[in-house]
Amino acid sequence: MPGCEGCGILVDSPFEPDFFQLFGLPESLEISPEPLRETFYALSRMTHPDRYSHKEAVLLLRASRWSQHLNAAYQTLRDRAKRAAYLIKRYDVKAREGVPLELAETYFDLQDLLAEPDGFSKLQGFHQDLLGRLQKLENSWPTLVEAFEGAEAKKAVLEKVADHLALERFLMSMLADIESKKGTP
Amino acid sequence: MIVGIDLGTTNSLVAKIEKGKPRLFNGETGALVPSVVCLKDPENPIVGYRAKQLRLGHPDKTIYSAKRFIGKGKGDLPLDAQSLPFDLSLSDSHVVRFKVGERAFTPVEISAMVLRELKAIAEKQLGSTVDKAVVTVPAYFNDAQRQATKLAGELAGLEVVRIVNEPTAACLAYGLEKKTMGLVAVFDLGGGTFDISILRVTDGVFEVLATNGDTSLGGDDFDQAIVSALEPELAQFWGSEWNRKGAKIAAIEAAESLKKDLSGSESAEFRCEWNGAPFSRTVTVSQLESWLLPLLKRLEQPCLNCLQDANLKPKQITDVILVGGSTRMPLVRKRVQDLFGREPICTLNPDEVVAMGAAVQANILSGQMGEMLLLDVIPLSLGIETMGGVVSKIIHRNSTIPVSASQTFTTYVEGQTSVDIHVLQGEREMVQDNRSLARFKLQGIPPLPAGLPKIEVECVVDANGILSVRALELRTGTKASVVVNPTFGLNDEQVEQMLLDSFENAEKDFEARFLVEARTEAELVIRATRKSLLKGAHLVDAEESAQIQRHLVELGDVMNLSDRKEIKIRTAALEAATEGLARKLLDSAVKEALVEKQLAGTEP
Repeated sequence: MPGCEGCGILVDSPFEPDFFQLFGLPESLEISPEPLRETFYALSRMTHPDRYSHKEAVLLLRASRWSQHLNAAYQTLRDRAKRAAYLIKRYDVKAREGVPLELAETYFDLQDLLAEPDGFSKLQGFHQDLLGRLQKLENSWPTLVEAFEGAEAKKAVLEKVADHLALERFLMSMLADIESKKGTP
Repeated sequence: MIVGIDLGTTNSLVAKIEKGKPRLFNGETGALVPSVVCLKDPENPIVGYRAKQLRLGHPDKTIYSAKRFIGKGKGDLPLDAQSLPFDLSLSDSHVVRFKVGERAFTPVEISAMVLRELKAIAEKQLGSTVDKAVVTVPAYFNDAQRQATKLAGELAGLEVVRIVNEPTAACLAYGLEKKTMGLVAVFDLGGGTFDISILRVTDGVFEVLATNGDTSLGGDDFDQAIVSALEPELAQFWGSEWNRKGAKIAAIEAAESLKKDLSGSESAEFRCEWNGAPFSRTVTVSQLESWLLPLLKRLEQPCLNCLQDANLKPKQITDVILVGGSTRMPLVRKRVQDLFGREPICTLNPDEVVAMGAAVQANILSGQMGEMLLLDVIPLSLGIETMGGVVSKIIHRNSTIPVSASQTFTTYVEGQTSVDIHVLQGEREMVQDNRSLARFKLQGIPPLPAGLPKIEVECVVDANGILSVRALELRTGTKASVVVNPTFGLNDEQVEQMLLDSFENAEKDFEARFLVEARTEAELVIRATRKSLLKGAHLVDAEESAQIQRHLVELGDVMNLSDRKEIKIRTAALEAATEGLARKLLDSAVKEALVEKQLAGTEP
């Protein structure tokens, strides 16, 4: 913790603080937004440089550093994908790149369809199918969240999380491709 | 003493908090000081109401709307720049200057004259010196425009302790009066700029969720549109006299009054006299609407973008606050109501509310505001150029400030010993579509196979929304940094010259600048050392490590002093102490067979 506001003592921040520790939270894939925001506000009251601009320069400097960490941490922790990506990086799990294997065929089919001048009518069915898959994927998320909480080998769960996120990202971008095509018939 | 200043396109105000209430300082004709400077005698600029009066008689020597040019280059001038009655000088480099007789003035210098006037007004009424100010800018101002505004303050002998976004300031003023809570949209349409911000207001914390806008859309454009619509009639009525600059100004002033008159009734007279020939014509609200429609439509998209960025639907907004003189127009209010589906509030004077908010922030910075705290954001994304002219974003728009973020890049060519770091601001993919903020070189990278160096670029945005960038080669600790200086066309020497020319505080300003530079350099060396120690802990023995730690602590201690020489000495000492470690890191780097992604490109 940054220190005590009442007596104006603000200790120096760690070089690269752990975002979860900063918020006093256990590592988790899911965080409820309201308590997180409340903690963010409380910590901001302690560390925002505006609260130190009339005090000694050393405190102001420390406050700026704390505040930078805090803001970065809040941005990361409040967003499901960023939060997961943060954990994935910490546990040294390789981030997924390129088209996920199980989507490859669908992906190339869609590219063909998007290139066809009269592919528009078929896109509707495609859209429905992708939405269905996305829904199914979303339904499986709580299982991963739970698995991560209890797991001894968290890295193994995060491998699955990385796959999950890559799949989700691709489904979303394919859906966006269809939407934009629809927008310009 | 810190005051709050609203440096507006058309009018400016200065305020402070007294006994918990905002107090506006009055100039000759009230709190609104026209942002107009008459330079008929360049040595004795006349500012404010009197300058505005002199405008008709000296159209080419009276500068107004300077804010629309501040921090802008030749390439991004307002559309109607050529129709202004004063001359722009665009000859050298891409600096915009206002030509007045033999002399030429930058928008920064003109703004400084307005600020100096405000400072004098406050000092006269307080009976004491004012040397610090919180100055507001449109939320959608980019880094160059913010830097230029800060510089204008320096020239006027004011230390700008904080740049605050105008809509945010307005929200603070409403917050002080406890007039609003929850999710608040601030719709700010001033003379020259349009901003929309959405904030979450809870128990004294003002968290900006998203902001958007258009830096060249405002009431001035409405006036211009009215004159354009009537131009055929005016030209016919006055004949060749219409080409005179004074006639244009008279028409613009008539348009201003027409706008006001039509705010209260369904039809009004456009009355305009030039050279003894009075022109008059009836205009209805629906005529006005048809003339202004293209401009009114441009208000829509920024609002929708802002809601989307805040991840909110219009019906989730608790309150919509109106700010800026142009929100007095019923036509504008109707648009706002349609967009957000609720009646907007404007219980505080829309012309004064920004200055009041600036005063609140001034008080917060003096530690006198109890629980109030503002968490503001950066309006535009920041990134650097990578291979193929693509921008790699490092800090995304609407990130809460202060903020720092870094990304790692590598080299593209075998044995490459330097890389160009090109810093950009904007939302677009390609370099040419964004605003270039700075370029600097990271030199002295050890010659390594392409892809092996690890170059970390770190962007830091301070609580003013102003950026500094550092680059660091992680394997060896080679470093370079830049406090992003305004690239609005002035180089360092020109800025220095302007500071020298400013009659007040030149020396103090210089010293402050050098001190900031020394501190930035020291920060960078500290960071490089900490990184090296993390990476190379196994390469140094206990004694060497303790030695480095000692220098780290010493530099940390002096950094907060205002003695830049001492900071420089300690920085050099720390660098010397880490030389051995750097060499060992380089050796081990070369040994590492690791080949990383090719490029001056990204590692997502």
